[in-house]
Amino acid sequence: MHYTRVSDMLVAGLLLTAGVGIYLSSQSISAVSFDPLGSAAVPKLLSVVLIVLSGIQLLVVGKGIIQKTNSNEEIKEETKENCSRKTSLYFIAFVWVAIGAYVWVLSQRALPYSVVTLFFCAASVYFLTGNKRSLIKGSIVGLVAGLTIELIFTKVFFIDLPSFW
Amino acid sequence: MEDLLVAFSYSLSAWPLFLIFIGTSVGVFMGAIPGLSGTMMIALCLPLTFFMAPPAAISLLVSIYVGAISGGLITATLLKMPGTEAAIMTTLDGYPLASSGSPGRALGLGITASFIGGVVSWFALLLLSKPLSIWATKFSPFDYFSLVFLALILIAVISKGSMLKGIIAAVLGGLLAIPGMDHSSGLPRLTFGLSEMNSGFEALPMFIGLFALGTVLSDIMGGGEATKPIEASRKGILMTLKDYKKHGINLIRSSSIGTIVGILPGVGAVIGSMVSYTVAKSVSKQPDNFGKGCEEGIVASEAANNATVGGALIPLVALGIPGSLNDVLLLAALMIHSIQPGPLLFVNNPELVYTLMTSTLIANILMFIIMILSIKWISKVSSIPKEILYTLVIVASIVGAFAFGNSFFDVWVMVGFAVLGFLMDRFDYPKGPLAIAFILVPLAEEKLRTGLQLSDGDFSPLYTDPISLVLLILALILLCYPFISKYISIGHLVKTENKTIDATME
Repeated sequence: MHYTRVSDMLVAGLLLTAGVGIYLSSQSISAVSFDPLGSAAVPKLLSVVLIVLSGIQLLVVGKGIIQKTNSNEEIKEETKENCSRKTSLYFIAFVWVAIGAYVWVLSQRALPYSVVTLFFCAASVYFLTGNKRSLIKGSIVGLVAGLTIELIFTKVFFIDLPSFW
Repeated sequence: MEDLLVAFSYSLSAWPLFLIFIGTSVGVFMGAIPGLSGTMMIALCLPLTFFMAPPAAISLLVSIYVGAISGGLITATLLKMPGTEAAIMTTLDGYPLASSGSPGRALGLGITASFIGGVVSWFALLLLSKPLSIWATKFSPFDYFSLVFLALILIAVISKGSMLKGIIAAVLGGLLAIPGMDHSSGLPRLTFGLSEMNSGFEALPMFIGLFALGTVLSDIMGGGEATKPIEASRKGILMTLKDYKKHGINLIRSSSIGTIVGILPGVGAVIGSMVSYTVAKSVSKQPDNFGKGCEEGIVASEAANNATVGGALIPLVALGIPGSLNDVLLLAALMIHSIQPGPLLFVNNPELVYTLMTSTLIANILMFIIMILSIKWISKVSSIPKEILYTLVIVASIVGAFAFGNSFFDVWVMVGFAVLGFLMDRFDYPKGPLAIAFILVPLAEEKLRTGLQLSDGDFSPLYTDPISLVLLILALILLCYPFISKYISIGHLVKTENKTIDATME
């Protein structure tokens, strides 16, 4: 569990907004004459349920926040946790950006899969260990995995990966 | 009987047997590594099965399932880290027994209990699934809808953590299944004008994202504590006749509990092992020994968690309703191979059903042999550097998602679901209800719409049909039970406090 009550409320708020958005989008789903229930009924029903449940979650968490504001010691502890969590947010964002970049480079088909994977694995292992020596380890893993996967998937399974061959 | 024998002859032939051996071995190894799971491995292997015939694909996937459930006990016993959730209860007694100088004994009890649990539930699968499927063919669309609705409620209510978050996750899963072409009208729903969305979110990229990539990323962020590992030993690993006499009743009882729990849709091995452990403790002559290296605890937990495998396959095979998360992936595998799961599976594809059964039994036997013979090697698996494992899982997830449709759109969908899975882990929203609802909500909608088309829009068969009525009432009871039980316990607490106050005043 790595969240504060405020962020829990934000998530509930996001879900509520998503529910409203889906409900409004469902209004444009057209019905057919032979179908008594219609194509829009289930999305509308589920989005209403999501809105209600997210609202309840907001109230439950909000009530917890109000009660907790009576205790200054507990707020101080949460603030300390918040600070260390902010540091890891950069780490989290970096990991996601790295994965996104890997997929984007592959999708451009400018480089073969094995080459992109070699760089990704080397960077990934280095980043996860923080150790320069692990660059070599990561590169070997990337080279073997990249070449093996590229060969098998393109030559045996005929998958259209960006390839040397 | 003849179909079963034909299935055995298929499963024991070279290629399927090789696949079952590989699947079981890989499953055991994956199950032994904390942070990696059978669910992840099945999700990653799904793309590989495109190139196989359906019976071979099912043989591979079900063997991974069997292996992974069992593999978790190794690190649970030697490292105090359950390799899979199912082995959590085994940790309580496995590690203390192993660290008291009997690692072989602890492992042997767990491995044998796993085997017996798997075999007992296999017999239940063999005996119960066909009669259940025959009964289910008499279901009307409304009955089927009510059954699926009950399964959805059960999954959300029994999920880990907050029930409210479980239900929200299930609703979200249902909503994520909606985008795409509506089967009834042929018109797009919630596609937002994107042609790639006409086929909706595919199950495979979703599963890989949620359970492989999302989980690995949660683990990367989460970290873990180090424990002093124990050297694996084969000394005392095989149970003697005296051990069977001592633990026989526990084995049968725990296997039965695991089988019954496994049948309940959405309830997995972890609940089965918890219930069985609790029952074993309550009937034990030495309940205080539980948690301190008690052999009964290991036997109860491991027999039950493996028994849930066969139990969970019963509703999958008979009704097309997945009994556990891994069964959702097996269901996805059937759908990918254009096989329609449901009660008619026995009629339309009996060879597939019996192959699934025979593969399960053979996988159980191979699991026992593999674990007994290679215990030392398997225990070394946990020393593979995590950074390499995680990197390989990320790479495999991306190529697996791409291989599904030769499209990077699926990869982006997979990454999106990985973000969702990561956020769900972060904010304690259970992923199981989401995944199961993703599969079951379209089924429920289809049945309800079919029923209403047949009844000209009349909803009354939902409550006039006895089967449907009973199922809906059960669903309602399940939904209300947590609140009712809370109310009863508060009332009981108030009465007790009042009695105490009265006694004090006297």
